[in-house]
Parts: sequence; structure tokens; C-alpha cells
Amino acid sequence: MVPPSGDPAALLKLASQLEMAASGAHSLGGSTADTVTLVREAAQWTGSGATAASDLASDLGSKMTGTSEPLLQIASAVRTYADDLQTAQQAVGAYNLSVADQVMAAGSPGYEQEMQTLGDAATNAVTTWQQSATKAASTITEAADELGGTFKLPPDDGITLAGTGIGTGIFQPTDDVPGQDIVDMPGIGPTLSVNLPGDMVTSLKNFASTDDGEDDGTTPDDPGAEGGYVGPATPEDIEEWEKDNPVIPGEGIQLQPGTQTSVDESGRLIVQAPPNEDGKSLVIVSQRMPDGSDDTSGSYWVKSPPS
Amino acid sequence: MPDLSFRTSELRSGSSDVLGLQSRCASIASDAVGALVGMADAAGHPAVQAALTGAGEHGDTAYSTADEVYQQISDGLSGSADIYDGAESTIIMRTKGVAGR
Repeated sequence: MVPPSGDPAALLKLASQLEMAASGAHSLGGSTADTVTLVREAAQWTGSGATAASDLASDLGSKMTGTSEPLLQIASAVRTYADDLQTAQQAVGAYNLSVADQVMAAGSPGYEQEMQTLGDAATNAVTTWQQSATKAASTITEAADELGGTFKLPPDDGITLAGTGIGTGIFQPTDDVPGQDIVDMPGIGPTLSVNLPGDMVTSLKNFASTDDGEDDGTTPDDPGAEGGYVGPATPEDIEEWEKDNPVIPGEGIQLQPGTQTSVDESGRLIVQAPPNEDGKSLVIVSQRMPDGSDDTSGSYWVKSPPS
Repeated sequence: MPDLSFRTSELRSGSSDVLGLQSRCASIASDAVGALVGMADAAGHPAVQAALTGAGEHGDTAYSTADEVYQQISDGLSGSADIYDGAESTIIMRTKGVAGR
């Protein structure tokens, strides 16, 4: 009789290795969310970007933990299979040994009965092993599907984790700085949401809603002010604006040409600007340099009022 | 000056911490997938062997994806720190630029 092939000792050893990996995955899952939470707290990082980072880490951690269960199921199935494989190999080995002995001990009383018994045991063990193999294969396949489905890769949609939109760079470009009024710059590439002092936001908001009675493109309601504030057009306009918005020299942040502002439903000033070449700076001022000269770079400037 | 100087160093440190998690993920992946591949070789029965081979492939895909996500989180933290530092540098630069007005 041909014994079943396979290495039950190796299977049992590898099952232990798989169980240790499962334990590690479970532990890593918990550490993942905790780590990002601690980073947020240490950095005093708040806002939508920080929340998105936490959501992503939490989801990743949960899914990492989730990989441990199918690994354990596979290890358990393999242990059972390995035991049945070992039993079958031993039974067939015993039978084959008795067959060899028969040559020398032919005619011995009771020997045929013993042969029969060993033969039946071997046959039963092989049958059990085959059934065990079928069951193990089914269990392993089911667990493997669960393992593979943990991190889905939808076609043409990149990597997605539930609710986080990973792959879209959701939390890197639109972070905000904690602690002050928020100016969001959403959805326009690598941008930054810069928090400005409340007074500055108030002044900007007031200016953004100004109607100076002239349609010269200098206030948001003017024709040509496409979708929002474009800043005072002349040094005189800047001076006029400064009368109502006292300026501390040096408190300005550059915005790129094409920057638009609006006020959202909650009253927040929304500033939208294309990214700089380095994709970083976004600030606000009039369209002239603070010294009144033309800004040949085309940048717009706004000066913050006293804080 | 607008105060944009919050603890970007903590974000950078956190980015390294996440890379540590990514390393742990790689180790787990190696152990798990290595065990599954080894089991397939030792199984003997073709159905079990095929199932374990498939499990190894699924595991490799899952942990490779997780690896990418850890990298993205780490990049996100360090990238955010870069952006904040860049914004602060810009403000400082502009402040110097108009100081003589």
C-alpha cells in the first residue's frame, strides 16, 4: 500500500509559525491606530487632515487585526490535517511492515487475521486522511478568500479602505494648523489650509463682501472678479483699504494669481489658490507689493491687521 | 505673525514610528506567507497544496497592500510637516521682505 505523501512534522511546525504571525498581526493592528493617535496628540494636530489620518490608521489597524483570524483558521485546519496525515502514514507503514513480515512468517497461526486488521486500519486511516484533506482544503480556501478580501483593490480605483479614500492623498494636501481660525483651501491639488489670526480673517471676510460702488474688478461683486476677491487694483485702492484695515508691515502671506475667496455657509472665509511651484505657500494680500510697486511675479498681497 | 509653528517635529517623529509599524508588517508578512508556502510544499495532498498556495498568494497581496498604506500614512505625516514648515518659512521670508517698508 502506498502511504500518503506529505510531511506532518513540518506542517505542525509551520502551523506554529503561522499562529505566531497571526498574533503579531493582531498586535500590530492595535498599535497602528494607537500610534497615530499619539502622534496627533503630541503634535497638537487637529482638523480634517488629522482626522483623515486617524481614520486611515484606524481602518488599517482594524483590517490588520482582521487578518489574524483567517491565519488562525488555516493553522487549525492544517494541524488537523497533519494529524490525520501522520495517522494515515503510520497505519500504512504498519500494514506494509506486516506484509513484509508475512513473507517470513507465512503460515503462522492468526497471522492472516492480524494482516486483515492492519489492512483495515490502514484503509480507514487513508480514507480519513482524504476526507480531512477535502475539509482542510475547503476551510483554507474560505479563510484565504477572507484574507485576500481584507484589502480590496477595486478595478481602476486604486486602493480603498472603507471611508478613507486612501490613494487620493486625502490628508496630506488639506491639513490645517490647530489653534486659530480656519481658512480652508480644498480640492485644488497640493494646497495648505492656513490658519490665520481671527482679526485677519474678519477683515478679509469683510473685504470679500465689500461693494465699493464701482465695477472695477476690485471687489468680489464686480464684473471680472471671477468668483471672488482679486484685491485692490491700484496703490490708491490699497491705501483706501488700509484706512479701514490697519496694517502692520511685514504681516503678509503670498497668494498665487488666480486665488479666489468666498464665504461659506458657516461664515468662514474660503480661500482657494493654485499651488506654488513647490506646492506650499498660500497667503493673502493685495495685488501690489507692500511698497506700492507692481509685483512683477503677479502675486497678490493682503496685509493683516493688528492682532 | 500668524503662528503656524506647531509641533512638526512630532509629525516627523510619528512618520518614523509608522515606518516601524511598516517594518513589523513586513516581518509578519514574511512569516505568514513563508509558512503558507512551506505548508503547501509539505501538504502532500494536491487539494490542500493548491488551497495553501492560494492562501499564500492572498496573504502576499493583503500584506503588500497594508505595506503601501503604512507607507502612505508615513509619507502623509512627513509631508504635512514639510508643508507646515514651508508655509512658516514663506511667512518669515515675506516678513523680511517688507520689513524695510
